[in-house]
Amino acid sequence: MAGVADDDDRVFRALADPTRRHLLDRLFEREGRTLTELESELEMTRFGVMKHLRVLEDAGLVVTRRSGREKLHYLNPVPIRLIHDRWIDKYTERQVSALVDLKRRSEAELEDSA
Amino acid sequence: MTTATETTVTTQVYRVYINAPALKVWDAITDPEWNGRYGYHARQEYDLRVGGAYRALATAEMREFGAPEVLIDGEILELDPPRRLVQTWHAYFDEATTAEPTTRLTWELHEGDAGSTELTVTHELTGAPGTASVVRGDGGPGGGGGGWAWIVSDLKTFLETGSAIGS
Repeated sequence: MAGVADDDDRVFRALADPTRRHLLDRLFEREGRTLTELESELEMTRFGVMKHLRVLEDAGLVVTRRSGREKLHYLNPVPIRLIHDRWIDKYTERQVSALVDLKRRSEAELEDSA
Repeated sequence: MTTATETTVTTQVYRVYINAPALKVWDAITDPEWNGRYGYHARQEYDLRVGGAYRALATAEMREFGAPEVLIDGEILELDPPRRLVQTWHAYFDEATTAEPTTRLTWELHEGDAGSTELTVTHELTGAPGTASVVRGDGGPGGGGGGWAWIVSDLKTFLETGSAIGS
């Protein structure tokens, strides 16, 4: 399962940077953008934007497609979804079951005192 | 500033790596024996030839909530098993999606050396903002689920562990 851990590491590392999160937000608003478009919205060199896009692409969060002479960038939300399904659901489930336990216990106490 | 002349070419791309051979992933997508067992659990029929029909049938639960019998329909445009499937895709989830133009869906499967498959789902949703919103999962769990991201994530879980989250 080392592969899974590596994949998750890459996603978390990619998301740990505010510029990269900003890039993902831009792609969420409108899909299929060119490097030039993305660059025009950031106070950063073309090379800097390229570097960040590469990290996002390596983590699977950005997928590129060729359209004629242009390379278009798309947000791929699936790695975030997988982390959600694997981690977030697990912990929220425990919170819910803790609440259910609490409810059961207080109901049992009520019955005992009745 | 955006103007009215701005083109509304909306394409969504979803990519997932599944630890299963391409043929197995292909079957999980196109075979009604498998495609009703993950995601929304809607059984889907593919007449696997160019010009063949595609239909997604509403589950009993969906019917109770007023969904039509045929939830989505379409036609197969390109077919290269188990690598590539291009189809039209028209949803009848509600009045808004029913009124929208037919969209185009491409399934691409690339089997890697370790027997795992890269699956890319490309959904071209030009002129169909309502459909685009649903398949992007904008409604959240209360509004009908998580769209393609959730479906392909569940497909991965289904093929890798044999059980789906949606079940």
